[in-house]
Amino acid sequence: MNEHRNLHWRETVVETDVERYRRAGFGRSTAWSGRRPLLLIIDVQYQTTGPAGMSTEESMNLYPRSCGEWGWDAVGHIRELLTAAREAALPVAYAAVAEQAGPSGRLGQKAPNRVYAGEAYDIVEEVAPAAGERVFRKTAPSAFFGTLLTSHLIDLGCDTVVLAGCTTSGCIRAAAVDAFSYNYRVLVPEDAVYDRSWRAHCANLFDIDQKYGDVVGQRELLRYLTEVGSARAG
Amino acid sequence: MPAEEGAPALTGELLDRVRPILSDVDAAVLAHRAKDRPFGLGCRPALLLVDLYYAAVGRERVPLPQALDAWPLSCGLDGWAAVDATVPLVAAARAAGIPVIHVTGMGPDFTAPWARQARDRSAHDHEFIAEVAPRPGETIIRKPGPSAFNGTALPHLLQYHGVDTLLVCGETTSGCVHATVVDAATLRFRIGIVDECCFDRVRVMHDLSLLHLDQLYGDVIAAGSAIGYLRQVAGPE
Repeated sequence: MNEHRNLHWRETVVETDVERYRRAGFGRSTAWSGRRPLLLIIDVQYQTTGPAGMSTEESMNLYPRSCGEWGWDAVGHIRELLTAAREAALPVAYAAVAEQAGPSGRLGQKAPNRVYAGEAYDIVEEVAPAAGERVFRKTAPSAFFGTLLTSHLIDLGCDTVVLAGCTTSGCIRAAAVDAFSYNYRVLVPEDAVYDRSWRAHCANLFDIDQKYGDVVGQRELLRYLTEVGSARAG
Repeated sequence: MPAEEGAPALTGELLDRVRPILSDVDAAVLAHRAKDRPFGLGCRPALLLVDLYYAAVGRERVPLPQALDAWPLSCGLDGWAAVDATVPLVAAARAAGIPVIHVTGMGPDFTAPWARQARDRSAHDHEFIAEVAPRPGETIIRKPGPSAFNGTALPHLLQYHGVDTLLVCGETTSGCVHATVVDAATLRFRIGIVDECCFDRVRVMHDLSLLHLDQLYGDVIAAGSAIGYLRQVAGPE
């Protein structure tokens, strides 16, 4: 279950694909030029991580959608980003899967899921929202779909979104595409996103990095958050 | 971010304009509702010109209701007065490097059910009025319904320009201007509705719409204040 740790996602991409994307003109950077980022933490709920300290297998027995240990590894990185964003007085918001409130439609048809009681839909305590940080409950993969996220970004005057959480191939990708479509700069920290499928994770990081945003390392992102934060304060 | 820039809203004056048609209760309700200071404008505006095409004014300056014979959707001389008032505002925006965005209908490409009944071709004359027509490089948004936001890439475009404020002109005040302002407010843009630059076929609808928009969604400001504001703020990033 720890196969994701063995190889960097960039090393998984085959050379012919890299060459085709290069010839197509993809892969330019849009990172770092924004000055008003928002950290968006997506679906970091117990139903996607499982309880702390549990193996991935055990986690999945409890919550079949859980990503287990990989999720908890990412939570550590997300927590670091969260601390940096808050210290820099940068806005933080959350998107989270809503508890089923009505007919689940195609989603329920495609991927029927149990409705859990208790903590399943709570945001993981280590990265839980502080007072004033908004949580957008969503019913579709994209955090933009049917939510007030766009209004919130405009209200705050943001020009960049940092996407952390899960899954890379599902809701992170969907948010990246929509944020890009609205002309926001998109940053995806490679260690702060997680998935069930390592292959889907790698393929989507490659694709997001080529077409919609920039997949970035933890240290360079921390440095950026601190820099723009102090520039705004000064 | 705080809305520190701004221009005086015409709140009290808008109420005075409709007072003759209000019952005492309506007048009391509206007076109670009136805001005590403008909502304020941001510092990165765009100028949004809504539906300034010939179907809305006709190709000659003819008063209502005669204008309706040839131009069933004409707003008559009120429309032409607003066009004339919009010319210096557009010039000020261009001089300040502020984006000017022209909104229009889809023409025959995607006729709406409510427009199909207007068989007269002049009702579908979506050619821009020359006095305020787009210059090369200015964006044109074609919309399928009343709001400039619904079914268009306007939010994408506004984020591209880093816009936080819309100055809105055009027609009709009670229709497309109203719908556009409501959606802009929902998206949390700050909004100035320019008094002399909006118009309608029915004047009482115009007056009531401006009052309503000013009370709830944006600031109705005078054209002179709008020009002053544009000069005051820097162009977009």
